[in-house]
Amino acid sequence: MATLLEIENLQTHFFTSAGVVKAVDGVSYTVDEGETVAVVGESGCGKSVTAMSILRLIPWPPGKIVGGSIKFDGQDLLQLTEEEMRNIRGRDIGMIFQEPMTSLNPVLTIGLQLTETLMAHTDITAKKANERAVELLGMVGISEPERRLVQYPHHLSGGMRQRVVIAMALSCDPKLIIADEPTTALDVTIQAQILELMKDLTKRLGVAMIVITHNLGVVARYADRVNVMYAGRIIESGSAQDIYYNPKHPYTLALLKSVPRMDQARQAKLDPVDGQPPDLSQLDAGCSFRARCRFATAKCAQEYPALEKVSDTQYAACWEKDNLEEKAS
Amino acid sequence: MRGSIRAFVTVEDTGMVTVSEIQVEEQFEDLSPKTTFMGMISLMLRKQPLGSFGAVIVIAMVFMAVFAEILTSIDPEDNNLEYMLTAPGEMFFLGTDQFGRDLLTRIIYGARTALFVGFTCAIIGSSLGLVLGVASAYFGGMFDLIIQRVVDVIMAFPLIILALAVVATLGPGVENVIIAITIPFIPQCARVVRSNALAIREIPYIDAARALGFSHVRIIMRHMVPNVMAPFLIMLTSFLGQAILLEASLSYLGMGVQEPTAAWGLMLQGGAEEYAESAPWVAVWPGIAISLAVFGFNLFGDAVRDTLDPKLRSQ
Repeated sequence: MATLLEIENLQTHFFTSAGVVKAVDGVSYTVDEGETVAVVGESGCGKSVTAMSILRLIPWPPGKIVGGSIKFDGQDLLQLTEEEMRNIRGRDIGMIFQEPMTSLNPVLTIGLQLTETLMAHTDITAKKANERAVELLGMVGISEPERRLVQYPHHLSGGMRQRVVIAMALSCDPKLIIADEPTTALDVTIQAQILELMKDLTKRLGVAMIVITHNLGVVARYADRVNVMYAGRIIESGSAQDIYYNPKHPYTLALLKSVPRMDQARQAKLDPVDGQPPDLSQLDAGCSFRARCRFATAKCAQEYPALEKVSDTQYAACWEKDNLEEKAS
Repeated sequence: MRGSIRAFVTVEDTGMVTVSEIQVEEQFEDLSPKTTFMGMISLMLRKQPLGSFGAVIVIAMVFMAVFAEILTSIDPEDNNLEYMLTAPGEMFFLGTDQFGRDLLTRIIYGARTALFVGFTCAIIGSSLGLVLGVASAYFGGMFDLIIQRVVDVIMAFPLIILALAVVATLGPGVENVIIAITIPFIPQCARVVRSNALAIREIPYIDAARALGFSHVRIIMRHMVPNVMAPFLIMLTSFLGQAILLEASLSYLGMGVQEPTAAWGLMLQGGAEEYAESAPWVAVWPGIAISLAVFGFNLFGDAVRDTLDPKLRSQ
């Protein structure tokens, strides 16, 4: 399938009084049309900053995209003017935020917020926009959509609000949706519903999606491809199958061992990843994971390993990637 | 309640979400019973007795200003030298001034001047401050820094000094008095609104609005301004009293409204100096009018603040 989004060597740095924080430092990945790509990693590894960089919503100061390119649908987003960028946001790229409680404006009705997006990006009459809003609410599984239009966000539960946010993201038929931890703030039963809904809608409408998450269960079930990030870089990339059953980076391996799995004995001990992620303003030339890595060698301190091909679909950035299996056992 | 649950069975696929959502809704509807107008008034009298008193004064003033022609048939600017400095009595309820003008009439027409200046200054000043404050918080960085330093400079002047300086530059007259009073209000409101808007700025729905591709103007006017309405209304009502007092002060100092227009500050000035002993009513009535008006607007403003501030409301 055709490539929709191509991120090349993206570098987003934050210039703080404590030094330059390299939140995203050389990230490259692609998203094909209609594909769901997951970006996984722990807090502060640059997942969200990458997403905000795509929309060019990094607040300056202190943040700035200092290098790389983001090609979306044939044009480099980093070369566009602010005006052109504004037309892409919301129309071609939708965004779903983490907190449905706070990502809707409390003083505006649901209907107003939905139609506002439509009317800002398309030449649609107020009446048509209203009809479309009802249709969208029905599509995301909200009961009595006509009545919801005049309600305020506090009338709805968290799950329903997230449905409204999804409806807003889908309103202008975008080509890509960026979901930044869409289910983190919801309880588990609702999480499953929302994820099902998102999977179903993206498949039906042929929308590509970037799911940012730290929930590996989400990844295994919903993503076609997975990028694992650590300290501002992608350290492993592959299909959900590759990552889940055949991890080639010690960090991915450690992450998988730290979550309970259905296919293991119930008494199996969880193995947390020791230590803290490194200070992103104090990175050296070596591998950023080596301090927490069980397989670290002398070479890891000298040079950062490049993201190299392991198989047709899988890439990993580790000097020991070929020896990982025997060492781990 | 039963109808709502039935709706969930037909439309929703899982139970918990919809049930909790319906409960919330029912609760919400129960909490806002259909109150009658009289019911609302009695509630306000109980909850905000002082505020109600203030509201009565405000309403009385507005009534006087609007229906001045009906309330009195005398021309407020009509000199009647035959009845100079008549004491309050049957013929002139509040007496007359040194030109024989009926004081009651001039007090009634003075309310018009006071309210016109008060509302114009308060609304323009606080609205400009609102937009400036929200924009300052929204854009941040250099823009915020420059705006806030300008605000600091203007706020360093006492209100009356700054107003005097503006009038001294522009000259007296109602329009210039309005400009002179409005200018010091803008930074005051901007400062208060900005601090509230800074908190709003950090809530994800503003980022969400940007991610939806809205322009800065739209985000500021549509998404941020409605969220800072509470502090804005508090500033607006407190400005009303201040503006009336300032207008009276400027007029008293001879820098504001000019004769023969009926204005309370001007009436006070005309009466206080020469007739304090021989005809005290000339100065007393406008003085009382000014005090009552400012008192009423401030009480009313406090009540508005208490009603809009959830922290105070729960007590």
